[in-house]
Amino acid sequence: MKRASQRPRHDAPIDWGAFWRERQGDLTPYALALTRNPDEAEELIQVVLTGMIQRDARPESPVSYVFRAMRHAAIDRARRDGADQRAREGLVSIAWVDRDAPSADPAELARLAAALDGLSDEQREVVLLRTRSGLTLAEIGDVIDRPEGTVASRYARGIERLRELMQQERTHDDT
Amino acid sequence: MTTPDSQPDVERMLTDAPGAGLPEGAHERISEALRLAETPRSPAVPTHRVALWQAVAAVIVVGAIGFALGRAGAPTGPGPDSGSTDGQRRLAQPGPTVLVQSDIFRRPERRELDVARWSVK
Repeated sequence: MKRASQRPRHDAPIDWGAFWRERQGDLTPYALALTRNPDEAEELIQVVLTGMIQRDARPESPVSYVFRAMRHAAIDRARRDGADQRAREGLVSIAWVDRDAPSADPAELARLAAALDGLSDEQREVVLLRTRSGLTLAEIGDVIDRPEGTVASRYARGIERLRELMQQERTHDDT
Repeated sequence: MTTPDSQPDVERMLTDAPGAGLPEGAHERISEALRLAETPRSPAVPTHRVALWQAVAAVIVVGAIGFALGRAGAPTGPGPDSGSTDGQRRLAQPGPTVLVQSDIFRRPERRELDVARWSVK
């Protein structure tokens, strides 16, 4: 995979303010999942996007570029704070799910959250980026620095595992 | 008891699940921070930089003046090895040096005496 410095660039400056307004809904879940804290999620997004402006970043694919920057920042932060905790909990949490929100089926929402927690860290991240942040499989591969085939495999297995876990939860609740 | 046919699709559930949000006002704060970051810098040079360059310029000017004065005060007469053949006995060795106080910097400088003036006839 090409390094960031080897990737083609936009000729024109990117309006990062407009990018934020258009992608608020996509960036927020991932930031929350990475930081597990709403205040830190806000800080992460602000730091990454202002850094884009200060460096006059003009990536060919701004979406994957920003998500990758957020991921790297979270990894660096985890290393400073203590690798042991993150090693146990994984890089991506389920903090993006609002389990207290009014829902048509609170029980189903709780089962979904529990099932997500049962995925591997890699599967959980790919499923989140695909379903909540709307990234394509190619963009996800760019974010996590893996081939698109690997991403597709992790996503398919993650969805299948979610179905299994939710069925187990339903069966357990029904008995 | 739920049946497989009544199970909602997992992907749809993930897409529709309520998501936690950022703190209140976060979207506006981020937008404002980005707007400030995009604002071009003022063309005026910061005052501390002006003072720094002024200090550098002053050192250069004083140094140049001192150098010029020092050059002006250097002895202009013939040196000990000027090659005169009027029978004056000259010292074979380089002339002695003395400490001379510079007027500007008050730093002692070593200069070679013009021993020809004191040659023994």
